Parts: sequence; structure tokens; C-alpha cells
Amino acid sequence: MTPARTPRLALAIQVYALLGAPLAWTTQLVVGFGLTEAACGPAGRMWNIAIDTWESVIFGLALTVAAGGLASATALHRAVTRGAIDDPNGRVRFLATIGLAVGAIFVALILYTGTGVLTLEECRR
Amino acid sequence: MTTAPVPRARPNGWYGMLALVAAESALFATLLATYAYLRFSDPRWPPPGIEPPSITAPLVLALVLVAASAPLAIASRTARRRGAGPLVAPVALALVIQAVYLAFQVHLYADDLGRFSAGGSAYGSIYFTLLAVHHAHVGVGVLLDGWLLTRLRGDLTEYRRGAVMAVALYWYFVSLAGLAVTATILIPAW
Amino acid sequence: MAVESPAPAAAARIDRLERIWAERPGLTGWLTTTDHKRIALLYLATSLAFFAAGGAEALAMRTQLAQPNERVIGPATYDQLMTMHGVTMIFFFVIPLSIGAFGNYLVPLMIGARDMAFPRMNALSYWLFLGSGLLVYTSLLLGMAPDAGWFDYVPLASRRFSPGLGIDFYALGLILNGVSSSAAAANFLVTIAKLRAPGMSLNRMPLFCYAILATSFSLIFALPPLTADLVFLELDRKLGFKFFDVAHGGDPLLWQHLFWIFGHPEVYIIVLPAFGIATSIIPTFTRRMMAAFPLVAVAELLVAFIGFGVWVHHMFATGLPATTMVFFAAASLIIVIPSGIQIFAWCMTMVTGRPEFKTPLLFIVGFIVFFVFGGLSGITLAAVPFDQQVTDTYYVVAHFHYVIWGAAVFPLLGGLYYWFPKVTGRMYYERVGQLTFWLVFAGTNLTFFPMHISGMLGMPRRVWTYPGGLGWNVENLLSTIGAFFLAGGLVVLLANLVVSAYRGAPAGPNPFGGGTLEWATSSPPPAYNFDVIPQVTSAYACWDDADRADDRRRLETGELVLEEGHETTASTPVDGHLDEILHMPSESPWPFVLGIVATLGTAFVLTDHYLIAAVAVALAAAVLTLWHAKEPAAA
Repeated sequence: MTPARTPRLALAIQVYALLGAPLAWTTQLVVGFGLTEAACGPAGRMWNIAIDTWESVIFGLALTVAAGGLASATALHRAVTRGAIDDPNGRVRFLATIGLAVGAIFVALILYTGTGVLTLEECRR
Repeated sequence: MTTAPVPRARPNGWYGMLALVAAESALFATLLATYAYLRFSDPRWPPPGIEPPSITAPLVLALVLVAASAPLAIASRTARRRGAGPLVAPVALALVIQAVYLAFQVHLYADDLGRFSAGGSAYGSIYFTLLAVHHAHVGVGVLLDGWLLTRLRGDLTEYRRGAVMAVALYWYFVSLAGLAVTATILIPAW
Repeated sequence: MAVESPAPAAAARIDRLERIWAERPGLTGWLTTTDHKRIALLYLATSLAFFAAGGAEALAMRTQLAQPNERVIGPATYDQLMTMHGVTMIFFFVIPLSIGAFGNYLVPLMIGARDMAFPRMNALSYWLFLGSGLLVYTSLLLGMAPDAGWFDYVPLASRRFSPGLGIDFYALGLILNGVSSSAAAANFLVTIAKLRAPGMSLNRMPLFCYAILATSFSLIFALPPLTADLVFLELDRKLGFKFFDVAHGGDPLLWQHLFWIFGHPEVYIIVLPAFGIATSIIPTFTRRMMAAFPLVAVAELLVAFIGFGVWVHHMFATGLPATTMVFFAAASLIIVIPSGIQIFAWCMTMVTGRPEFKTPLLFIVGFIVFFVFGGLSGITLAAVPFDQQVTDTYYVVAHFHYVIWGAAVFPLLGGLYYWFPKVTGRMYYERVGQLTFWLVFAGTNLTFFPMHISGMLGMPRRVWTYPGGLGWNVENLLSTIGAFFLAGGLVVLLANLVVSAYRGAPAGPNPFGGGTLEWATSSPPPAYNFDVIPQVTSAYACWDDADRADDRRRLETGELVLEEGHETTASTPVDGHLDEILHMPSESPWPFVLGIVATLGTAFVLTDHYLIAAVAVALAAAVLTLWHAKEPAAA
């Protein structure tokens, strides 16, 4: 997929490339952590939450969004290097490089977190 | 090098208000997370002896608060586009609705205090604190509306334009916070 | 700029700028100043005074711990010293110095602006900081300082176990301090977004500004959880609320969660400006641009961002489920990557450049050593099983002093030397400077390295004394000797700076050949910073001779000299296109007045005089109305 030359789409892709992966991890952390607090706390015994199921769903969604962010950053970087996007100040290329680093680190973090949550025994203290 | 005929970016005051809104959003997020945390810690919520809140009044009031942002949005749009539309009337209308809203909320708050206390349980503590913080933000907003009305006499200078946009932003945030707070305190009734 | 005597038209413009930007002389001038450079100097002096206090507290503790079973200081006093040492060093020394002094002085200069976006709010931040520090230290003078540690855990900090006012001084003082820091953070965010010189798109912004940007984002989102926590504590203590009371459905762990949701980002707030200073000093003294510039910029922001997701690693020994802790263990390990990116970039730049090991660069090398050591011990602590063995031992004390003393303060000391010529117009004594580096480097290692060992041998932290025969004696004695040695080294450093300020050789605008815009104006800068607003076409604008020559030409023609009033430029946030001319406020008494009202109001809440406190709130609202009574000049 090549980013379109229209400025609006390029802007949307830049934003996704920069913010998609971090927000995916943030969601995994907040929802996933909240889930373990709810399920393993005193009130949780009443609710019987299937932690592993939900954590798998969150993991899958977060990983997909983050991987998409990394893919966007890659596509953006390639487009800028090829000269397909207007970049008089070098700002777009700068943000594309940043997007690559951001995407890679958060994909790794989501993988790390998800495998950890799913391999450990639920609620064991 | 010369500047454009009119600035393209939003005024500094609007950005400053955005920073304030970000900080206050973090405050509300903390209070709501505290509510959830305490709820997860207690099998019985609310504790015995306390009735779950009624749904109707809080829900209607939350929607009223959101509606009060509509005239402000109109005023903000006029200001942003440097239009010739009215500014004083929509801001005054919003102020009246918000002030009446606040009066109702204070009355309901006093009612609740008659039925259970903040010092009797963690439920009471977070319930009354969360609502008090929200109502305080509404109160500050009403004062901001009043200040804005005193400023809107005469031409629409760049400063006044920024002030209208900034106050409108504040109210969008307070309305959203109001929805989140209402949804949270109604958790026992879900 | 303004080094050679300017031609007639230029001289007339400079004369107008001098008159427009002049502030009142004497004490009145200092009380009403809105000049970011003078506010920075106020922060510098005040934070160094608190540094001395925090240092005295440390030396008192180390004296008590030099040998086993000492009775120099009793347990109650020790607890107050320990708490005040932590609170002072974090809230009243390192953060005000980093962002209040260095950030305030340098950010407008580095982005080519004439002041911060909100000059009066800048002054307010300082007065609120001073007020909060004086308020908390009043407790020490009254013999009722807080004594539950800087982290102030409940139930120890609850009214039942701490009935005195000490904890209230702590909580209310920190709420006031938080308002100061939040205002400063908002100011930096808007300044960095809007006031950059024309042409300074995001990829041309100095890396120090990225560090301050990351720090400011962190402050905005980290302080509200602390404020909420402190409010909950005061509501429990003063009005009998039950947030932390287990018997009524509360939870003491709630305090810990909220505290560390603030507390962990806080330590990145402490260290990020130091990273920014390191990233400023290295290119200057290696005569090459920072390697991997975009990656270093984003690494700053990543550390700040991921730093919000690690807080439970301070609670690994509190009995939480493993599936909860793993989220935070993973993030605590991954956060090493952006830190590592920066370390590699710094080392690469030095190795591939032509390094000149003058005093500032020596302090940065020392900083890298401490950051690597402290980072390594931090990685070990990110592993839950290891952490559960060494938690609450001196191993943790060693780790955090390596990072928040070694890694956070060494760049500040190097920065004091580096920007000394810019601020004072004089050079410091270089040979003495290098000596002070070695004294402070040796003293730091001697003080804090042995703590790794005593910690792993089981010595608990936060103890006022310890029995002999447990194998901790030698380490403690070494730490105490190191602490006094370190203090001596710091005294020599301070003396070097003070004497140099009076007797150092005159310095020109750019004695070290730096590449950022603060070096493009005179030393010290005039009140209006730059004769003309610079135009920027690269990330190291001061190395662009053609652009700087063009500035001198524009001084003649009057283009972007902005001599009609208190003016600076605003640009679009992302690309830095010139957008409008801003009219800035000048001197005002309101920040000082509001600082006093806020501090007194807090003191009245402290002593349960709620009605008077309410009057103070009304007064504050009145001051704010007067503050905003006059609209900016034009448009």
C-alpha cells in the first residue's frame, strides 16, 4: 500500500504511525490491569471473569493495531525516501523515522506483556 | 518576512486552556479509577444501609449540562471564523442553564448528605468527593462565563476571540467529565 | 549578535528595544519581574539554598549511621530528617533547578523567542514554589516535620498513627508545589508549541527542548494523581473520610497505587532535563551533531510515556497477583530500550567526533557512568523475584541515588559550568573545574557504591541505627566518609563558580562554539534576548553562518526586529511557519500577590481555619480578575 499523495490521508497516516502503537499498548495496560484487579479482588469472586479469554482478546486487538501502526510508519518512511510526499523542511521524514522506532518498541512491549499475562497462573499471589 | 493576514494556528490562550483541560482530565480519570478500585475491593457496593442512587435525576441533569455547551459551541464557531454573529446572547444563555444546573446539583448533594455520610464508608467518601470535584469545576466554569461576558463589550479583538474559544473548550471538557462522572456514580444501578 | 558596534539604524533599533524591555531596578524589579532569565535566577538561588538544607539533612543521617548502635540522633528526629531529605531534594531542589532554572533560562533562548508564552504565570510558578518550600520548612522550625518518609504510606500517615500536624504540612505543601509545577509545565508546552522562531519545524527543535517537552507532558499527567491522593489523605485525616480505612471498605494500597502512578513518572521528570543537558553539551565539545537525532528526540518522549506504565514495580512486595505485576515488569524492562538508544547515541557521537574533555563534558562522562550503573541495578529490580529479595534494603537506596543523584545531578553540575559564561559573561576557572569533577565523582562513588553491598547483605533501609556484627559496618563507614568528601567537593565547586563570577576572564557570545541559538546572542543576553528574531533552517542554527549573517542584515532593515512594543513571534506548531506577532505583558505585581494569597490560604487550611481559607480563595479570584483586566496592546 502506498500512502496517497493527498495531504489529508498522509496526515492521518502520520498520526496513526506515531500514536497508534502507543495507544494500543496503553489500552492493553489499562483494560488488562483493570481486568486482573476486578477478577482477583474481593468482589471478583462473585463475577467469575474468564481472565484468559478476555486478556487474549485484548492482546490480539492491541497487537493488530500496533502492528498496523508500525506498517504505516514503514510505508510512510518508504514514501518519503522515494520523494512521493512533499517535505520541504524534512519534518515528514523526521516523524516517519520516529514512527518506526515507536512502532517497533510498542509491538515488542505488547508481545512481552501479553505472553506474560497468558502464561502466568491467574490471580496467584 | 511578514505574517499571514490572519493567524492560522489557534491562540496561545486556547493552548493554555488545553493544557489545563489535560491536567483536569487526569484528575477526573484518577477519581473514576479510584471509584472502580474501591468497587473491586468491596463485595457489597454500596455497603448495607445505603440505597443505590436513583437514575432519573442524575441522567437528565447530565444531558442538560451537555446541552448547555451547544450555545457555547455556536459562539466559539462565530469567534473562530471572525464572524459577525451574536456572542453575548449565547454565552449568557449557557451561563443561565449552567447556573440552574449547579443549583439543582447542590440541592441533590445536600439531600444525599441527609441519607448517608462521607465518613461512614469508602463508598460515601468517593461518592461525595467525586461529585464535589465535578460541581466545583462547574462553579469555576460559571465564574468564567461571567468574566467572559464582562469582556465581550465592543469589537471582537483577537484577545476576546481567544477567550471565547478557550471558555468553550473548558465547557466541552466539563460536560464530558459530567457524563463520565454520572455514568460512574450510577454503577450500582446498572 | 550585537558584538561589533552596530551601524546607526541598527543602533537606534537596539536603543528602542533596551528601553522597551527595561525593568525597574532593585527589589521592586525582582518582585514584579516577568523576564524568564531573572525568574530562572530566582529559581537557581532558591533551589541551591534548599539543596544545602537537604545536604545537611543527609550528612546528619550519615553521621548517625557511620557506626553501629550510635545515639547521635534519636529515631524520631531521624525519621523527620529522612523525610525532609527526600522531600527537599526532589520537590525543592532538583526539579526547580532543572525546569525552573535551566528550563526557564534556556528554552526561550534556544527557540529564538523573547520570552515564555505566559510571562506572568512563569513568575507565579516561582512564587508558589517558594511559598510551598517555606511552608514545609516551617514544620521543621516548629519541630513537627513530617516523618513518614517522602512516600508517606498509610496507615502510618493516618491521623491515628500520626496525630500531629507534620503530615498535613507535607500534604498541603506538596499540593501547593504541584500547582506551581503544573503551571510551569503548561507554560513550557505552549511556549514550545507556538513561540519557536520562524523556520524551526519540529525536526529543527533543539534536543534540550524535546527533553523539556517530555518533562512537561509528564508533569501535566503525573501531578493530578498525587493531588488526588493527598486530598484523600487530608479528607481522611481532617474530616474522617474512609478512603484508606480497611474496616470501612477502604484500602491502604490505594495510597500506594496513586502515589506511585505519580512517583514513577516523577523520577523521569527528574532525569529527563538532565538527558537534555547531556545532549546539548556533547555536540558542542565533540564538534559534531548528535548521532541519530530523531531517535534521541523520540527516546525522550518514549521514556516519559512508558514511564506511566511501570509504577507497580514499587509494589512488587505487597502481595499483588502475578498476572497484575507482569504488566509492569514487562514495561519496566522495555523502558531500557529508549534509555539505551540515548546512551548509544551519546557514546557514538563522542567516539566519532573530536572530543575536548573540558569540565562540562567530564561531568557528562561521569553522568553516563552513573546512568549505566544505575540503569543496570534498575533492570535487576524490574525482575520480580530479585526485587522481592532486595526490596526495602540499601540496594534500592544505592540504585536510586545512582540515578537521581549521579545521573540527574551530574548534568546539572556540568550545565552550571557550560552555561556559566552565557549567564555571567565570564569564564570559570577550567583547571579548578576539572578538579571539582574528580572530587564529586569520587565522593559519589564512595558514598553510594557500598550501599549495593550492604543492601544485598540484608541491611534494611529507613533505619535509624543498626546492630554490629552483621557485616554492614565497613560499608556504612565508607558511605559516611564518602558523603563528607562529596560535600567538600561540592563546596569547592560552588566556590569556583562564585569566585569566577567576580574574577573570571570576560567571555564572548560563544566561547565553546555551541550550535544552539542561546549562543547567538551576547553573554549575558539583553533583556529582549535577540536583536532580531532569528530565522532557522537547521537543527543547529548557531552553526549556520549564512543565516546568522542574514540576522545582522535584517537588524539594519528592521525586518522582525519587533521594536514597537513587548513583542515576539508565534509560529505554527508543527512546521514553524511565521503566524503572528505576539504582544507580551511586562512587569506585574499580581504573581507575587497571588503567591502570597495562595500560600497563606494553604496555611489556613492546614490549621483548620476553613472560613478564612475560603476568604483567601475569594481573594485569589479577585487577583486573577485584576490580572486579566488589561487586554494586550494591539489587534
